[in-house]
Amino acid sequence: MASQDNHYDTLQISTHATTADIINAYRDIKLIFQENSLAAYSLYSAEEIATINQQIEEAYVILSNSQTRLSYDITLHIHDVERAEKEVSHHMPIESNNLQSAETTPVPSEVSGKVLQSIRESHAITLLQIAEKTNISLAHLKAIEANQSSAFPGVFYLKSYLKQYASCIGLEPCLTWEKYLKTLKD
Amino acid sequence: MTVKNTATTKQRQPLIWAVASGKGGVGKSFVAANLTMAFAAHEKKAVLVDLDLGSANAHTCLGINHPKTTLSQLLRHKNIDINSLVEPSNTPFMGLISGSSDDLDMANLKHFQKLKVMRNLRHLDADFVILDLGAGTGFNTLDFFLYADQGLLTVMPEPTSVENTYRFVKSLLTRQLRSLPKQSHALMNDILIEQKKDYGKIQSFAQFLADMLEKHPEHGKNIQGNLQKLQLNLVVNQMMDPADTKLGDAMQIIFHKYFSLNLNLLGCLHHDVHVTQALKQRQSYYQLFPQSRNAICLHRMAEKVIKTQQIKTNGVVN
Repeated sequence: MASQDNHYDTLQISTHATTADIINAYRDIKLIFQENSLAAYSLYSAEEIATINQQIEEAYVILSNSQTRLSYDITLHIHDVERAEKEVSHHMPIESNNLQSAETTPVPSEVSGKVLQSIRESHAITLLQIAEKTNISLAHLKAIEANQSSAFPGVFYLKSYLKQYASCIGLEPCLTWEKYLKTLKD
Repeated sequence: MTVKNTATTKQRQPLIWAVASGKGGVGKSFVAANLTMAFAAHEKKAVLVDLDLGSANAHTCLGINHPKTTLSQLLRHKNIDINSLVEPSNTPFMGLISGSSDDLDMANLKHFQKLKVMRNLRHLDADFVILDLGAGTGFNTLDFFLYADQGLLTVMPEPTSVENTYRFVKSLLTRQLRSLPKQSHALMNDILIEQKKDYGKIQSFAQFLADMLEKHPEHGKNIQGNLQKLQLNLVVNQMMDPADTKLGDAMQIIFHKYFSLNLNLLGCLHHDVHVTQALKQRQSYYQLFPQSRNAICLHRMAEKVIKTQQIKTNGVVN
């Protein structure tokens, strides 16, 4: 059953897909080929669906891990420089920036959303990268930079999010929070 | 009366859209009629042709009461201009070729009659010609569907409807591939027999195509070329459950995986009791409830189609 399909075909994604694309594609396709799926049952027999599911799992296990994916790509003779760079820029800078800048960036005397934004931009970190790293939604990160405390369900959330944000751009979290709170109260 | 020719635009060729579904009652006529309305609302001349031969009722969906002309006249008379059969409606830019008072044997259209209708469809003076086809997988339906520039499949989130849609596409592919040379057919048969031997049953169409490309690349490419001519679109109709929205995307993926066909998801329409209400009042839904979410969806679909078409034609010119 469709044995020549490579893992990318199985998940119906291009070889340029990012890790997020792979996760989404996996989730979608698992729903399509679940047992008694409306869209699939009349074309495929139960055994075929089982085989397909197995292929999907296999594909996901390999592609969701960047190490195994890389070695799989080599067997397919895919040399995707573009993606490799993209992946690197997706994951590396935050970590490296973190390590390098954690001690180097002193917390400024006054911390507001604007100040945070300029510090972030000086490190060339995008909100998207922070969002991916911390799992905080873009909307909340934007609200932090816009000093909109009303966007959060409670101060507790703002505090937690801001601290994570601060450590991503290399600021000392607790001190940053204290000063940010002061700016908000003023 | 806007549909009648404005002589100057004689050379323009209408874009023909065929609306079909494997199963009856999923809303072909509704989609066809209201999509025609939506095209007209965008000031594109649109003519709906009722090819649900023998059980035509597109005129009711459009709210046209007793059409005076019918498609049968085209077959009965020699040298008749198809444009004279277009029944004007009270909506500008829109017309209908009705089948309401067809001859009673219209359902069994003969081959040469079918060809005559097809030939004449191209002469319609309009931007869009929408064919409302009958349910099922009869030759007439399949041939009109294949003849059209764009095919639109209507499906509703019900096992029977989805099943029959796949069935329709299978019949469609078989019909489309019948024009291949004899030699190809022999090779195709060989591959199917082999699959049966190896797996116990015939595999997916995509698998068949892959085998064909591997073993007989020339013939395989020929088949692939034939398939690329098929322009398939999908409308999911009568959605009731929020989870139903996923059906369109799911079918898109399955079409690619099983048939190796590209399916363009045109849009989704919700179940709405007002459809019956509009029918009872014998008015078109699109006109009676222009602010309903389905009417807005239809409007957007028409917009999408027009835009894609513009890009295509402009691309060719450039």
